[in-house]
Amino acid sequence: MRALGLVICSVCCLCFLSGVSSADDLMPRLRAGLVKLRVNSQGYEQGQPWNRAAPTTSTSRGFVVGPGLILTSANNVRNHILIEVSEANSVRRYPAELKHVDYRAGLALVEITDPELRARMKPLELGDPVKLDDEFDIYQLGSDNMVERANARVVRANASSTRLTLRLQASGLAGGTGEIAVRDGKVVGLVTGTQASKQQATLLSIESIRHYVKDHDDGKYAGLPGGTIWWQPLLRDDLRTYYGLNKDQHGVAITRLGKDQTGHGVLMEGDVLTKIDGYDIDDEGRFTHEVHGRLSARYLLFGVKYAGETAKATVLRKGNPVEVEFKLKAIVPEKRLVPPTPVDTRPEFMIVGGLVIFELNISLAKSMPRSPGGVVIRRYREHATWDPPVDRERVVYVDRVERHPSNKGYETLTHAIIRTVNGKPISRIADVAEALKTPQDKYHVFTFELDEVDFVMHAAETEKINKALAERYNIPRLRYLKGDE
Amino acid sequence: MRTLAFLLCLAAAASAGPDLQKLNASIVKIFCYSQPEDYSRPWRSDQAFPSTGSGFFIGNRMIMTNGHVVGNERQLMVKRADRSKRYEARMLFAGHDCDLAVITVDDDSFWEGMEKMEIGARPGLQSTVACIGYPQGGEKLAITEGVVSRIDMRNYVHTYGDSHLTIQIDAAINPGNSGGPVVQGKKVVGVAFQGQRSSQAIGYMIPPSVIRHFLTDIKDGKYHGYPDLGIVFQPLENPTLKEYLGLPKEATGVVVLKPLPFSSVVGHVRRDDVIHAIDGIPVEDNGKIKIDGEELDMAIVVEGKQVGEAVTLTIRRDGKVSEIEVPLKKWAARMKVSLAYDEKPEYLVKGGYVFVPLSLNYVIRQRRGREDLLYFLRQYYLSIYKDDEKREQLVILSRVLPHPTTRYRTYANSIVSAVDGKPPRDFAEFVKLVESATGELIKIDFEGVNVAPLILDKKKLAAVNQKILQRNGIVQDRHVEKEAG
Repeated sequence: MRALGLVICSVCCLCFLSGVSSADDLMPRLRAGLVKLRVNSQGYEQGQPWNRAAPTTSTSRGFVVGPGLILTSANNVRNHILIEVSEANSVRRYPAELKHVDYRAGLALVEITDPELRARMKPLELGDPVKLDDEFDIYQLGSDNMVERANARVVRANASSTRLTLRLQASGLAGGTGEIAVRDGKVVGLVTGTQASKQQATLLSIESIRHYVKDHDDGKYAGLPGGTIWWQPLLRDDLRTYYGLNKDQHGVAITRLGKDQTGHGVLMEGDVLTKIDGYDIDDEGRFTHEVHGRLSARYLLFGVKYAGETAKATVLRKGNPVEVEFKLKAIVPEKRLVPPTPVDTRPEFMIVGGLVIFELNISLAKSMPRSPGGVVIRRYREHATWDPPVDRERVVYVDRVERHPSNKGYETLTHAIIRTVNGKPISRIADVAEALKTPQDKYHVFTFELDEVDFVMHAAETEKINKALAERYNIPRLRYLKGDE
Repeated sequence: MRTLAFLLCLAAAASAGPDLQKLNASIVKIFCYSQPEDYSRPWRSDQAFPSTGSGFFIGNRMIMTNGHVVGNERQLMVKRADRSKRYEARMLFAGHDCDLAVITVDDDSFWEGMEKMEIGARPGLQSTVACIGYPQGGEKLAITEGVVSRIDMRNYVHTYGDSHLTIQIDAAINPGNSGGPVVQGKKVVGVAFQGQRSSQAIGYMIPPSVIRHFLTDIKDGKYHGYPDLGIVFQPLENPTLKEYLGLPKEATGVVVLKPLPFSSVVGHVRRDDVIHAIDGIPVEDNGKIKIDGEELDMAIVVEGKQVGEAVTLTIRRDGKVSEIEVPLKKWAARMKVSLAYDEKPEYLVKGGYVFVPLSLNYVIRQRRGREDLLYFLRQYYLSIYKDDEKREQLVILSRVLPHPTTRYRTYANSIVSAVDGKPPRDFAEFVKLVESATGELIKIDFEGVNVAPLILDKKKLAAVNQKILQRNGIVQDRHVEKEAG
């Protein structure tokens, strides 16, 4: 990865030195810098993760940012199994490999492996930020790989925690992702979504693109910082009185801080956050950006700097201004009670005596039925970005029971959160596997939350039953835990 | 025995033809003008509406009908089939949990020539019955015949929260039929009460056992309702589970998972007790008992008892079998998990904030967040709510009335967790905590992550409360049933 970083860095430097390009040589440069990606993807079936989902094929776009390196939207390579690229004016496809992806940044680097194509493709220069009402062109490779152009204008800026995006009004958009915005011969953004019928598009800003590309400079990708900092707007008079703000003081009240995450131990619950890195925070939790106007203050914390850097803030603590400085820590999705849906990897699962056991993730939680058990599990989504409770790292639950004579009487056991197995508390799905190594007398005993029924099976018969289940239900493997092959 | 029963049924069916002349003097049409309460805006009632149903004379100047025919009544009228005059009537007793009621008429002339109908025995399966009443609002008695096709425990939809023995017949029961007698020979063998929209020609009637239970209950001049045993149990269909619990192979029954708080079994039955028999009747592994060859829920034994009577359970605890007597009481939980009628909803309007106790009546009125509220009801029902038995009722901030002092409020159905740090035991205590707060600011906290507390400034409240009440046409700022202790 170090070599990759250095190469991109040198390309960027060269680009900056080359100055403004003339419009006359734009089309040749676009033909050498625009690519089309054809990605075959294949995830896993949500309800039966022992099976792969049906493969899909998608077409998207990207552009060259370094020797043989293509920048594209992260979603374009989600669950990829095969990536191919083609250049302008040719429909011939060449193999490529995913070099790096960051789903929070929304960007990915794909490397061209064919030496001849690598040699032909030339990086496009990165330009300066565009702002409200700026007009520019959108370029892409069309269905026959001819370069197509549309015209666009910025109608508003928007910042999430990690990305600065621009909404475009565009004419002549074909629809798709990975198209590039070009002004003065330089790339000023990457289209991440279009609504062709409304002639609207979302553009990932050049600021966010530069942030991602620059992160590879030293060969160590730090990534975006993250963490759980919940705050409340202070628009309401009663809350302003409660937090002791006068009419000239503004900010947001911090209500929760994730344990060991960004700001924890420095910022305090009950602090009123009034300033971050010199920017005033208003009562809605926004700051005024020099170019883009009012944006979410979370972007200042998690979208501008790199994990490991520091931020300075001013808070009102019991009415007194206090200057604080804290480290912006890398986010660890693994530590979430309900983590994001696994991408590019098989979800963990176990089947024991017919019990189909999952760890809850966001998409499983969203798809829970409206049954009582389902509703209870859905509520754990509230904690998706919050600290796991002390006694539980994940929500491990029985999704259903695949029927077998040995589990007669348990047919209605669904969406039941496992409390213990063989007397041992269950915090992760791996704990289930560990607990099964030491049966309770000669039995495996599962207990559940909500006083669901206890599940009991003969430990000695587990293997035989599991084998029979695998044959009966055509299950190629009965478990996948991290570390399994 | 089975043969004998069948022959008796045939004999009854042979003489099933009802005497229309006598029926005209026994069965009345009921005109009800009812007005439900608006649990979303509890200071007001909904628009009143007319409906009709059926009823029949059971002696002692009493007409029996369904609870749902006369629920929330503002005016009751009855009309005999053999007379044109409508008489004013009034409610005597309503048992909404079993969907039965009796009404009376004060005008002596109404009763002249009325023929009393006797309550008979439960009809056998496949026997023919006649359903008599005024379906679809007609002026003449309508008689439809059907066959008894199923007898089992079923939910009574009038309250959603109660289940009792129900007889299914293959005759359509239409609006207006409700409350009418179902007869076999000359005797009433059921009260028509609900149908099934998804199926044609399937109707349900309340069996004689439930009718008699109701009539016995009201003998002391008050309706007490059905007692509940109050256990959550696990069937013992799985042989491994039986073995694990150390039960002899021939033993049958169910294992107790949880005695419900506020219920009859608290202090008598514990988790892991095995119930082998109820009132000497063996309990099968699926939780059913056999009576006269028919398999019925074990709850049927409790169904036959009145509040204050006792049931004998044969239980196995720590390997020892013993008989225990459980005095039966009505489930004493104050949170309403069944729909209530003829009651005025509780509420408190404070500074534009409307607080109500959580109830099923409230939940079914909500368009949004219904699932979450049902979750809380279920949590409460199973008493796994945070403070379990210390929280007899949950209090919700249901809506915010618009006023300059209530700007930016986005609360909807937020559950109150504490008033000035103290969790309210019930709605009455919540009101008391708010009214007796000593500080200038009252802090009300809510369940869930990142829900800002509500800060009520007592001085401001005093200034605006009356104006907000007037603007919204609220005469009383509260209705509280019980004084806080």
